[in-house]
Parts: sequence; C-alpha cells; structure tokens
Amino acid sequence: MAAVFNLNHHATYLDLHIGKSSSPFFLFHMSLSNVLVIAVMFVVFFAAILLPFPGHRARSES
Amino acid sequence: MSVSDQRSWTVRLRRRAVGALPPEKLLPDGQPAYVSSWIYVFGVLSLTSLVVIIGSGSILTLKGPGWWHFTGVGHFFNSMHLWSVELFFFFMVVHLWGKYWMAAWRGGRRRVWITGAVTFLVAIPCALTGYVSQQNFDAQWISTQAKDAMNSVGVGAFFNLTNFGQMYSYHVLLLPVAVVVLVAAHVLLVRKHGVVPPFPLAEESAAQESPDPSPSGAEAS
Repeated sequence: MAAVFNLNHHATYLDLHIGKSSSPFFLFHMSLSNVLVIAVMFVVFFAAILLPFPGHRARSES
Repeated sequence: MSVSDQRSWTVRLRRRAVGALPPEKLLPDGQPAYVSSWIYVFGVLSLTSLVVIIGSGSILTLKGPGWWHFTGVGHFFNSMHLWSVELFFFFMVVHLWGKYWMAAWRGGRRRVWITGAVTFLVAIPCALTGYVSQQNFDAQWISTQAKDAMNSVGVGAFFNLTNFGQMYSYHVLLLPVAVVVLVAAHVLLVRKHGVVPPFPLAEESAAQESPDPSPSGAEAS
C-alpha cells in the first residue's frame, strides 16, 4: 500500500466536538479510513439486498 | 439393537449424530429458492476468508513472528494474512447486519445466532493479539495503549498485552482454535436447522393468518 499511496503522514480524523471546536469532549472521533470502510460496508449491504442474484427468477419459478 | 450395541458408546454416539444431522442435511444437494440472494453470500465469504487466514497464519507461525520483516515471501504472507483478516471482519459485519435484520434466531435457530455472535466477539481479541505480535514499534504502541483498556475492565491480570509470549500463544493457538470450533458449530447448526427464510410479505402473512375466510366472518365484521 505504501508503494502506491503516500502514507508518511498523520492519519486524518473526523471529529465532532460538544460545544466549541476546542472542546475536549468528543461526540465522535474516528479516523477517515475507518469511516470510509464503514461507509463501504453500508453500500455493500444495501447492494446485496437490492441487486438481483443471477438465476434467482429461474429458481423461484422451478 | 442388540445388548452389545446398546453398551457400545460409539454406536450410541453414531446413532445420535446421524439422528441430529442426517447425511442429506449435512451435505445437501440444494437450497431453498430464497437463498438466491446476495445477502446470503456473506456467510460463505466469511468462511473463505477464515480459510485464507488460517493458511497464511500457519505459514507465518511455522517461520516465526519476525520472518516477515526481512524476506519478501514473508512480507507477502504477512500482507495476505492482514488483508484476509480485514475481509473476514468486513464480510462478517455485513453477514451480521443481514442476519440481524432478518431476525435469524427465528424458528428454533437461537443457538445458530448465539454461536455466530460469540464468534464475532472472540474474533476481536484474536485480531488484537495479532496486532501486538507484529514484532515492531506499531505492536509496542498498540500493546501499551490497549493494556489500559484491559486494566479498565479488570482483566489486565489475565490478559497482559505487554507480555509477548502470552499474546503470541493466544494469537496462534487458543483464540484461533476457539474461533474455528465456534465456526464449525455455527455451520453444523445452520445445516441442522436450515438457512433462515426471509420475513413473509405483508399479504402473505395476512393470508397465513386467515387462510379460509368464511362468509359468516365477513358478515360479522
């Protein structure tokens, strides 16, 4: 991965603070890469429900 | 059954095993039509990832925990081990979501659900002990940070993340054996009870509740 992407930097985080941005109380604190993986999980989950499975109609009719 | 058969524990065990899981249930030649959906694929994908994890992990175990640092082949198997774990958790989470919203504990499948959920919980420390077995600064950082989490929940005396020998034993033997045994039980229970069907549509469930509406009932309403 490091050969393809430049990973020589600090992780990017998504922060939601309670009150001002300088507040130490985090409502939400997660690295961007983890947020993206969870987003992809949601996409795959709904795609698995909605996309037709090959041969499903033929099996249902038989 | 003869008296000698009744006394034989192997005969009794075989009869019980075949009664619980007859061969046509253990290795079925077909599945219901509703299994033809992508959401039913993620259990098998999780199993496939687990096979790659066990295979690549076995090679890493045979060569030692530091091997992957100084050989290209070792780095390849380490990467294969890491990414199969990533996929295992990815597929397992989607499988869990699908089964949760399908209420997969219906129809006497409570133990199927419990073994699956416990497998997920046991797989988490299995992966964590892998992170602290990497033999690098990353592992040191993770172990010194994660030990506070273990101490905060009162299990630090039994689960010491700064003890490499203990963590390595957990990672390559105890926890993988637990995961594989739980997965085997989960699959056998799925074979026994069958794959959980989806919820019936609203009109189907209404038809099931009143299969033969009588004219008198219609008059009374």
